[in-house]
Amino acid sequence: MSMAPTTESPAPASDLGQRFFVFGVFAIMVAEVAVTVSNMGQRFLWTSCMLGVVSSVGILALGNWLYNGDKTALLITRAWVGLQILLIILGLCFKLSDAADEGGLHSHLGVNAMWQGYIKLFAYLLFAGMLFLPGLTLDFFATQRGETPTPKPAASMGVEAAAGSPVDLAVDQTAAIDGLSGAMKMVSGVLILVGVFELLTALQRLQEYFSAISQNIETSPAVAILGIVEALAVAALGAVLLCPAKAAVQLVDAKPRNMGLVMNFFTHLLASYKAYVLILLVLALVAVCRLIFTKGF
Amino acid sequence: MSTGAAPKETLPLTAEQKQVVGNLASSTKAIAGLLLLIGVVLIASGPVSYIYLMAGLLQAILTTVQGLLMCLLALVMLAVSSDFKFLEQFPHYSGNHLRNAANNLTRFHQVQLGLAVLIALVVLARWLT
Repeated sequence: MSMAPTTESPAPASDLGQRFFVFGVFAIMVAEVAVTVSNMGQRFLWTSCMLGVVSSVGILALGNWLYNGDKTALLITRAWVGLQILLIILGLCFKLSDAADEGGLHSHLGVNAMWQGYIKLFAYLLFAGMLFLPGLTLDFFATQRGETPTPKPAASMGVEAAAGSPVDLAVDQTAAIDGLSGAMKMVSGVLILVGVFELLTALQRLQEYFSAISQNIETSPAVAILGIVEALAVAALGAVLLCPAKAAVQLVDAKPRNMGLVMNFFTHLLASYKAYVLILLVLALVAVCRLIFTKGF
Repeated sequence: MSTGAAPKETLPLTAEQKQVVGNLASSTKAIAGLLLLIGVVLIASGPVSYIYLMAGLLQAILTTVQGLLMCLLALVMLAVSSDFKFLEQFPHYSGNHLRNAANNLTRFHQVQLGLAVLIALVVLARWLT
């Protein structure tokens, strides 16, 4: 991919943004090529082949255009990525409902196997995260346009933290907060993993349900749906702990410490625990529904 | 007779900041209540599903253990809620209350880790049946 020349060497943060951006573009291209080649070998269809070629070349062209940080390119790339995600989800849904049908719409969309849809969806969602969420990649585009990147939350937190009164924590107090941050990080990672595992098993149940429906076998989707909801809730329990864990690390590492950092930790903790209340409500509903619809399991 | 000077405040909380700490105490108490509720539902659903709904013994045992762990989590979270309440009400010992809250929260997340592993086992058992 030919990249536009730059007159200045980028700052370290924008350099990281550049790497993420290039990684995102190439991840999509590799996913598209892998899926297209595997489809050509198994079930060749002109439509899926053309879609794969256009998607592979299209993302490279858009990536090259977007490298300059052009706002129109950003808008078009966002729309392109959104459209692709929509097509993949459509393909996955048709694949689930027409598991036995080999010439259905999902085959034309290039989703002949579930893994093909998942791998493309993962690559596009990753890139969509970079394009839509404020972060290093969007800062990189702003730098390329010659603008000053928007200040990050961490920087604004630093300003707020500097305004607080000084705090002198004892060794046992910092050790306790340090231990808490470690425990939070650990449980967060494990919960996300368990959530992903449960989601995969629930999706398999959903696929089995659609297969049974297509064969006119009467069955209930309750196990699969409850599994999906529970999986997302469990992963969310882990994900919401990441911010307070990071704030705790900032509090422990800061020298000198002040009330701004302590309150930053408390505020993140409060936000996470408010989210916990909602997630636990969902889990309580799932527990009751399991008892009613699926014999408690 | 002099009773001595009050200890220096480790965390000089303003009224607004005390409000945040108070909200933390309320949120953690709400979490404890919900955990207790889910725990009781799971403890009940274990034997109920085994006796009345013909579920497997392993499933019933795993569900009951999950409920017990949830109740344990609720009790630890109640202790955390008290720590935050004390932190709000007795600022002269705020450093100690902060340490206690952090230690209890660490215990909470350690038990939660065990619960996460148990959930993984339940999912695995569900997948294999």
